Amino acid sequence: MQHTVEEWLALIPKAIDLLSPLSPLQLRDFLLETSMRHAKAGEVIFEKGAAGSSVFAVFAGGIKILIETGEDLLEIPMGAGQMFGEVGLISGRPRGSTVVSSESTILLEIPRTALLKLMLSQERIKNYVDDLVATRMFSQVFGPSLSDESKKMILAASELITVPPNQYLITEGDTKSDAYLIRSGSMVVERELMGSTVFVTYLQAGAVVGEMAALMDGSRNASVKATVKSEVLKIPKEALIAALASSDDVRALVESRMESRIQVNDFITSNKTQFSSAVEMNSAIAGFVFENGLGEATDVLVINENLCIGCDYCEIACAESHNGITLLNREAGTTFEKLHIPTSCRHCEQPQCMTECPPNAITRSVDGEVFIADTCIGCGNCERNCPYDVIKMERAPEPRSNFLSSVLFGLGPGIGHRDRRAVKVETSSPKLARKCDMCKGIDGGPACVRACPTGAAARVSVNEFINFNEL
Amino acid sequence: MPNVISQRFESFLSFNRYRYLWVALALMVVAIGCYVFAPVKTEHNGGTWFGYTLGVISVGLMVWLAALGLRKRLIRPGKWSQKGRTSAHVYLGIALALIATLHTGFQFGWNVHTAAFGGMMIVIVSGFIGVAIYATVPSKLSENSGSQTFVELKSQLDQVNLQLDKVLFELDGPPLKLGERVLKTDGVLVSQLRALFSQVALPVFEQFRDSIQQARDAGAIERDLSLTVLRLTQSKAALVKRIRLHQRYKALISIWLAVHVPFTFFSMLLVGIHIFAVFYYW
Repeated sequence: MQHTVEEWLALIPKAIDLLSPLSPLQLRDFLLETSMRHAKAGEVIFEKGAAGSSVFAVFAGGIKILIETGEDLLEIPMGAGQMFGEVGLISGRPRGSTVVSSESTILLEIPRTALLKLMLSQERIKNYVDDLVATRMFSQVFGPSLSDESKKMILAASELITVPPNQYLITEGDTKSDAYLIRSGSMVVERELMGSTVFVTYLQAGAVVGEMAALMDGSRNASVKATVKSEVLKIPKEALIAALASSDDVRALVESRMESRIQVNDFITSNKTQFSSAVEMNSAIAGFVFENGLGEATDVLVINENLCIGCDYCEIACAESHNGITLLNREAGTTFEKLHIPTSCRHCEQPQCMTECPPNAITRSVDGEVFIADTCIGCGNCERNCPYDVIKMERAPEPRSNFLSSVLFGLGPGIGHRDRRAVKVETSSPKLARKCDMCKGIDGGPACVRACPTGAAARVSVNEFINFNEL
Repeated sequence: MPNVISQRFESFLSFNRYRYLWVALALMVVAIGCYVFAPVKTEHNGGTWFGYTLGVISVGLMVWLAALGLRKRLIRPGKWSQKGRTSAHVYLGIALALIATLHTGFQFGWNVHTAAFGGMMIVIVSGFIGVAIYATVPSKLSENSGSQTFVELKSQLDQVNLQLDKVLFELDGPPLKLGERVLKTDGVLVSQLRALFSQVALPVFEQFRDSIQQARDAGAIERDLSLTVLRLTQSKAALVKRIRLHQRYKALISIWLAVHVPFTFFSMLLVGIHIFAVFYYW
C-alpha cells in the first residue's frame, strides 16, 4: 500500500469509524500521537491480565478476542474499523481478555492520554467511546449470549452517574431497585449488623451491584459506597428484567452469581457473633485502607511495624536503584494497627499524575507499573496532581564513588547515602519529576522489599488483603 | 494486626518455612554424629584430621557470616533477598557455635586458641541478644510513636515549649526558676548510651507541678494561669517521655551491634593468630 500523506488522511477516517468526525487537520494532529503497527496472523496483540493503557483500532485485516467462559474458549472476531482494548481506557483495570490477530493485520495504536484528550474536545467521539465501553462491559457482565438488541436496549435505558468519593450509591433498607454497573473507580459493600458497620466486599470497575433487589423485589440488603471518585451506569429494573428474559444463558449466569452472594450474606449474618472480632477487625482495616485512598491502588508498599527495625535500608536500596534519589519516605505516611503505609507511589488504577503531562511521559508499562519516561520536561504538573504526595521534582545527584573507597575510607557520595544530593547536587541538571517505578527493568523486582533485612516490607495489591473470603 | 494481613509478611526467622533452621540443624546433627563416631586415634582436639576439618568449616562460616555487612551494602539487581541472608546468618551462626565447640574438643586453657574461641562466642552471644531485640523492640517502638514520626513528635515539643515560654514569662518567684529548668529539658539526647539509661519520666516536671499548685493555693498565681501552666507541663512531660522512649528503643535496636561488629573483627584477628600459632609451632 503506497500512499501519500493526503491519501492516508483520507483513508484512515473511512476505515475507522471512531475518527470520522475529525477534520483532516485535527486528524493529522491526532495521528502524530498514535502509531501504526502490523501484526502477522496468529500474533498475540496483548494478553489477559496484562496492564495496558493503549486502545487499538483495526485499520485492515482482523483480530479475535478470546473469552474464557467456564471451560470453553469463545472467540469474538473483529474486522476493519472496529476498536478493542477500550475497557481499560475508562476503568483503568488490566486487560480483560487476550487478543490475537486472525490474519495479517494493520492496527492503529492510540495512547490512552491521546484518546482521552480527543474525547474531551469532541463530543461525538466521547459518546462513541462511552457507548462502546458500555456495550463491551455488558458482554463481560451478562456473558457473551447477550444479544446486540438487548445491549442496545440496556444502553438506551441506562444513565451515566458520577459518584464522589465516600458517597453512598445504595443505602441498606432502601426500596429503590435499579442495578448499577461500575464503569470506573471502586466501591465497598457494607452491612449494618448489631449496631456496627461490617465490611462485606470490595468491588472494582466492571462489577454490577444492586441487581439482587432489582430481581427479587426486596429492599436493599447492603450499602454500597464509592471509595474514590467513580462512574456508574444506572440500569433501570425494567431494562434488566427484559434483558434476562431475552436469554436463558444470561439469566442462569446472573442467578448463579446472585446465589453465591446470598451465601456470603447468610454466612455473615449467621456467624456474626462467632467471628465478631474478626469481622470488626476486617471492617476496621477496610475503613483505614479506603480512607487513605488505597482503594484505587494497584500495588502498595506496606510495612509491618512488628518487624521493622527502622534501618532505612528500603530507602537506601531505592536510592541505589534510582540514581541516588530515594523515591520513598519510610517514616512518613499513615499507620494502623502496626500496618504502616509509607509515602510511596501506589500505582493507581486511574493515575491522576497522567492527566496533565504535556509530553505524555507518564505511562503504565506492560507489567502494571506507572512510570515517568525520559521525555519528562520538568513542568511539575504531576507533582501537583498527585493526591498522595509521592512525586518529587529533583535534580540529578553526583555519580557515586567506588564501592571500596566509600566503604573503606568513607569517600562519598557512596554506598549507604540514601540521598546523595545531601552530598552534592549537579546544579546544571534540570529538576525532573521522579517517582517509584517499582524498579522497572531491574532484575529481582522492587529493591525496597529485597533489601529489607527482617521481612517487614511487602508489596501488595488492595484486593489481596481486603477480601472477605479470607476471614 | 489482622491475620489476613500478617499472613502477607514472613519474618527473617521463619524465612522460606524455616529453611535455614533446618539446614543449621542438619549441619549440627551431622557434626555431633561425626564427633561421636569419627575414628579418631587420640582423644578429640583441634589437631586430629577431624579437628582440622571442623576448623576449616568454622573459619569458612565465620568469613561468610561476617560478609553480611558487606553484602547488605551492595545493592545490585538480582533475585536475592536480604531477609533470606539474615535468616541464614542467624541460624548458621548458631551452627557455628556448636561446630567450633566440637573443634576445640572441649580443651580450654589460658592461651590464644581459647581466646579466639571466646572472641567468637562473644560475637555469637551478642547476636542472640540482637535477635531477641529485633523480635521484641519494633512493636514497642511502634506502639510508643503511634502514627506520629519522630520529627512530628519533636516539632510538637517545640510548640509546647513556645507556649510554655510565653506563660512562664508571667510567672514570678520560685516557680519561675523551676520553670526554666522545665523549659530546658529538651528531648534530644546525643549518645545512644545516654538514650538507653536516661530517665523517661523526669522528676522536674513533678516538682514544678507541685510548686505551681502550692503557689495557686497560696493565692500567688491566678487560677486560669496555673491551669494553663499545669496543662502545658503535663503535655510536655508526656511528650518528653515518648521522645525519650523512642530514642531508647532506637538505641536498643542498634546498640548490640556496637559489640557484635567490633568483636567480629577482633575475633577474626584472634582466629588468624590462632591459625598462625598452630602452623608455626607445628
